[in-house]
Amino acid sequence: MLLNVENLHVRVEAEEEGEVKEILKGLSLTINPGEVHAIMGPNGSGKSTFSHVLAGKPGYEVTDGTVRFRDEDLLELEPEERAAKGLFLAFQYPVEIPGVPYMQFLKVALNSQRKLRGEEELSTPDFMRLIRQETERLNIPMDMLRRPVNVGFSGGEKKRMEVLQMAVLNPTLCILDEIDSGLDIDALKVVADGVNALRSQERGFLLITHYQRLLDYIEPDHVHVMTKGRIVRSGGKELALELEREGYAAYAEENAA
Amino acid sequence: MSKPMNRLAAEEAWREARESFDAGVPWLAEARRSALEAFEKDGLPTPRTEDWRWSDIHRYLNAPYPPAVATPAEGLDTLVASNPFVGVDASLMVFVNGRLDPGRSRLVGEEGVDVLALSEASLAPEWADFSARDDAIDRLNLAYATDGALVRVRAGLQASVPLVVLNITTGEGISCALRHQVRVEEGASFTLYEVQLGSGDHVANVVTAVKLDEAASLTRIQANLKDEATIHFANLDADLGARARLHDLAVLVGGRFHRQQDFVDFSGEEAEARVDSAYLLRGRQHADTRLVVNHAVPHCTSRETFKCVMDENARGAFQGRIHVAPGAQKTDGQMAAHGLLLGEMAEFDAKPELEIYADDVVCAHGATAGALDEEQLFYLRARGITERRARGMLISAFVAETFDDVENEAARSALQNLAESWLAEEGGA
Repeated sequence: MLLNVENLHVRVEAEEEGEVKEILKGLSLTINPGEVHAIMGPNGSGKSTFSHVLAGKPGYEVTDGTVRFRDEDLLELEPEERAAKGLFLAFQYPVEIPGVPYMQFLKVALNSQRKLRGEEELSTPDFMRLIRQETERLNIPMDMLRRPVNVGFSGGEKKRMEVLQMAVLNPTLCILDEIDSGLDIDALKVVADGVNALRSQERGFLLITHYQRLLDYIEPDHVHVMTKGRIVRSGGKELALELEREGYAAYAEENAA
Repeated sequence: MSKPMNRLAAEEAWREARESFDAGVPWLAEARRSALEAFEKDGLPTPRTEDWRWSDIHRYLNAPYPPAVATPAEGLDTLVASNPFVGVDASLMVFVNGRLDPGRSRLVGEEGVDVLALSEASLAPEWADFSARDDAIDRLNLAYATDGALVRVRAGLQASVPLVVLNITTGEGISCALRHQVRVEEGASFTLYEVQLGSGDHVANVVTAVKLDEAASLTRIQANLKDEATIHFANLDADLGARARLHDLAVLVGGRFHRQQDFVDFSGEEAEARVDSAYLLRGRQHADTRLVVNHAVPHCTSRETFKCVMDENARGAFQGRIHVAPGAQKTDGQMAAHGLLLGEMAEFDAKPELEIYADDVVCAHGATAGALDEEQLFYLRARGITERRARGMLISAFVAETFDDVENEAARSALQNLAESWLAEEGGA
């Protein structure tokens, strides 16, 4: 088992002073190696919160439930330890970092993970070989790596670079938070091809999306419907098509009842 | 005449030293006298002086710091060895407590570059102007300067050997003043590195006066690595002729109190000045920069970037003014001050100002202050970078903008190393 989430409850402090809002209300999910899962749901259902909590973003309080990742208590780990253990979150909005060249960022990230795992750091020639190989495969000009992280990149470029990071860092669980948002169809194909190339027996994927469109290009094994902080229905990839036809309204009512 | 009751102990000591102090350099006597008279008339700035509003020097100058007479013998080798620009192929001038140390200096002769110590000059150099501007620090400096570098770069020469000047002041309860003069003649170019070094509760006052003739170019990089007890005043007084170019960068990690004053005067058209600073402060360090850019003539460009990182109880201050004279059309001036506050008790004050008396100009100024960006921090950590390293990367990135255009690779990496070693001590763990 790669990831096992049981009865997860998460609160977040709302904008208004002191007000606490429960976002996740008993979420359970299991992902095995090699599986591709998709969580679909309307805005505000807690999808992105779930991805943030898995990656360890500060500002959330887990009030109940457990999350185990590769037989360890994930919630006990710092964000960087989670990454070193093989968890990767592709951000919905990749962050711009002026003054930090992309190449340096990637190299520090890779070697920091290796160090945390007790492995040798990668030498510069080996690192460059890896970068050349992966940029070629994803059709990314090397020039982009000389620029500061995400600064001035288009939406499509940012997402493609998230996939490059994934390829270079070689995680075991990839969480893609709305990887399709802000992409036109060509950019979506490029990103989906990159993701599909990374599918393997050992690696699991969690796709978080609002729209079925993404799943035309990255075919999931399991689809889950999430509303109001819980998974309310699970099924095969045909569930996505059903959602596309009928919308989320039915689930929202079912959940409220 | 009765003495004012509020005169500071330091000021009192400097006035008293007037009779007994022998600075040598007889040809400077007249200039000294008028500087001292002006200083004695106006005295030190008070906390009510607008240009000093964030630096109460009364807190720092309430003890006597008489002019240094003896040169200390200890610890000099270590200080000289801490020169960050040791990797730069250059001539070296070492000044210790206001006097040239010939044994530790090493001049690489270059045809067309005259380098001389002020104390060695038997006559006033005809190319240099020894007069103080309307500024207490400058007057005090001229009144008590005992030495300095005199550099003249002959017309048309692209000098290949830069000069590294170590301004070492070390000891307790003393003051030292050095006055450097650099003249770059028509079409020539030069690079000057200055390092402020030393330890102890003392006052150092270093003025660097720069005159760039038509189409002359100067890069000046200053690093302050002094210890946490020192009080330091550093003035830059630059005059740019037509089409001249100045790139000035000050990087500061040391000192208890530091006051930097940069006066940039454009006297010929189409000249360009870039004046940048990067300060990394912690503890109770106080560093204040005042920048005055005078666009007296049309078609000149100025860019000023001030970056200040403050942890613990450190305080950074910036006062900058771009003055555009009537008729200085097509002036392009931009000034920015940015503070990065790491400690809850740290403080940043900035006041960039524009004073414009011409109507066809492009001028802008801005100031920001804030903490590290939590979103950026999380993004780096989510990629496996430890929190400590991630913070370091973001702090480096904040100041790096000012280093990026330093052409000399050894110098650029020396500055990066300064920032790195500051970061290595960050957070204690």
